[in-house]
Amino acid sequence: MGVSFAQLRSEIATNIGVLAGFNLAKMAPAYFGRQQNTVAHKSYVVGVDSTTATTERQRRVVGVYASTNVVVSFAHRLRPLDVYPTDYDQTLDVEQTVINAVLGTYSTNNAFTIRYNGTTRSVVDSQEYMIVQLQFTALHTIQP
Amino acid sequence: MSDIPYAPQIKVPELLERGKSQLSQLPIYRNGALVAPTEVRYTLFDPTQKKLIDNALGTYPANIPEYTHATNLLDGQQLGEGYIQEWKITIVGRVYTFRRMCAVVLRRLYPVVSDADLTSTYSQLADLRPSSLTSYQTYIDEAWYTMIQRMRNEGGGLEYLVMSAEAFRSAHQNLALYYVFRDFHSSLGQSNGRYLDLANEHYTQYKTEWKQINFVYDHNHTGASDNPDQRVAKQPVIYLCNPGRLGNFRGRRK
Repeated sequence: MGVSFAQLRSEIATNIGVLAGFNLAKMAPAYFGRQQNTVAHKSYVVGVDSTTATTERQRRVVGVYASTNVVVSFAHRLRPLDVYPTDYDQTLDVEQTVINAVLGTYSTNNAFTIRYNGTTRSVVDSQEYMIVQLQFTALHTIQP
Repeated sequence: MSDIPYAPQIKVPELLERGKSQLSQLPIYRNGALVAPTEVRYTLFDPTQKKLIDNALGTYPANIPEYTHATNLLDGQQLGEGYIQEWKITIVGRVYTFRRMCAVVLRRLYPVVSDADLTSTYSQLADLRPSSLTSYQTYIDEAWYTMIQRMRNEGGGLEYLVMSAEAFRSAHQNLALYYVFRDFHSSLGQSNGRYLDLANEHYTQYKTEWKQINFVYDHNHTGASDNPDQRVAKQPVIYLCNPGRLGNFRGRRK
């Protein structure tokens, strides 16, 4: 069963969207850092950044077996008097919850498999938010 | 050894309302901690230096010296300023005497700004509240005491004679928000930023609001406004010029 790129993004976004307080941002993933302050807390984006075809036979009836890099970014508020370590730790806990959600089960009956690769964490210059970028690899088949 | 400069917490003069049993407290601090007294004596002088209470024994629950005034103590006493509280407090075997100015009033003035007045203007403010606080009350209280003190220092009147408490609302709200955002900015250790911008904005607004305060005032200590239709400006208008000589004011009739 094939899973399109858009379906892949949508499935992952839905899994994160059910977490308490999470809202899909209206920014393109590459511009996520420009999200307005007032709605930035627990806003997230799911970017389907790049795809590589695996070295298998590519047949129209089977589809193309592909490996897609998925980047999930979310922002977490740092309260000015609790930046470190209280809210820093809280962000790390939330990050773990997001990873679990992405690695969870999907409505497409697990037509793709997903693997967690790593995290990049940064704090914006104003120290108001921490931005967490999670890298995943999804293995799925694209039906031509 | 010379006397240690203990610091009694006196933010504004004590107000004693007539016909009401009231508790006066005088917490004393040194090195960031409450000082433990071993004896508390309390004297209350009227404006003529007559003792209304003479060296009465006070208590100090949780190390806070306090004295409860009887309900009828101030019956017939002159209203207004000039009363003095004198606390003789024994600390580590030595007696220290602290004085606090006091006024006898009919009613005290209460602030009208609460936590909800701050969070209603900034939807984010409730979420930014530090984990150590359940409200922004400390900032609100500090702003209130600063305003009362400033009003007295500038000769803008006596706060307990103001009948219309809402006159202070905007200035109080802006000064409290200034303290909140300044604290946020200070915690982040930056030279600029959104919190500093907001702090400066609210301080500017506070200064403007402060100049414009006017209220209904009870000049005669009667408990009623002298003229409810005529509001009194907190800040007097000062004319820096004389009227024209020889009566030749423009438009003036001869």
